[in-house]
Formats: sequence, C-alpha cells, structure tokens
Amino acid sequence: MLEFSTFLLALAIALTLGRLLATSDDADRVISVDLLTFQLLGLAVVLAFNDQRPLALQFAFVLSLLGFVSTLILSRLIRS
Amino acid sequence: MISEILILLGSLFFLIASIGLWRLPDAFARLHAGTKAASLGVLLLLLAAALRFHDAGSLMMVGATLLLVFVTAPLGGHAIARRLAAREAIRPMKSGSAARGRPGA
Repeated sequence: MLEFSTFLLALAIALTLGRLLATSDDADRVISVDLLTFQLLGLAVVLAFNDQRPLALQFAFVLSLLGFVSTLILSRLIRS
Repeated sequence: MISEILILLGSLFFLIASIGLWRLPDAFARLHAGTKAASLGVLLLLLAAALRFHDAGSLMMVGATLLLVFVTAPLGGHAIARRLAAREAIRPMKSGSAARGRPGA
C-alpha cells in the first residue's frame, strides 16, 4: 500500500512538473511551484514511513517554511 | 493499518490537486485547486505520521508543520491572488457595494 501511494505521489509530482513546463503564463508557473512544494512535503512524510525513522519529518518542516517564502517571492514576479 | 489508509487518501488528494491544475479553466480556479486540496493532503499525511511515530519529538514536529502549513498556505494563495487580480484589473467587491451589483460588470 505504501508503494502504491508513493506511485500516486510521483504521478502527481510529474503532472505538476508537466504543467510547470507546458504553460506559458506566469501565474500558472507560480501556482505550480506552490503546489510542488506541498507535494514534496508529502513525499518527505512518505519517506519517513518508508525508513521507519521520524528524521524525515524535519525535512517536511523545512520544506513548509521554504515553500511559503518561495511562494511569496515568486508571486512578486507576476507582471501586472 | 489506519495510517496506511490515511497515507493513501492523502496521496489521492495530491493527485486530485494536480489533475485540477490541468483541468480547471481559469487561473483563479487553478489556484483554488492547488491550495485547498494540497492542504487537505498535507493534513491527512501528517495525521498518519502522528499515528505511526509516538515519540514526543516527532509529535512536536508534526504539530509545528501542520500549524505552519495551515497558516502559510492561505497567505501564499492570497499573495498570488492579489497579484493576479491586479493583472486582470479585477477590483474586489467593497463592503456595502453588493446592492449595486458586481463592480466592473
């Protein structure tokens, strides 16, 4: 079951990366990067389950902090 | 067992968020999908981690991550939506202007 959910998460990350590459809109790129940080956070939690060690939860914490700052900075790049 | 079901549900919501990023017609609607479904996915995955790891350090880390995500995800979405509304020249509805209908329509 853990392998299947890892496959689902990898499929979701691939779809988001494809959207990031396929679109030509600035706002869509920022939204894709925002979603991508959350999905990498989820992948870090699944990594903690796979290793049976809670060390990767700290990666998830750092990724949430990093995702917020990167979203705020990248949202300044949407041209008005 | 129940934590594995929660992990499966969380991954499914992340996949739904990605599908919404492709399928929804508008940038505002895509922002809606990308923020809310991802928040629900993070909630389910971290609940699964809280059920699996019982020591105090990882419980504290799960609580801090959950608090941080649920505070900062609406803030990031709001920052994107403000720049997007400025680009599309949409004025937000002021209080008391609902009787006159949508501004700019």
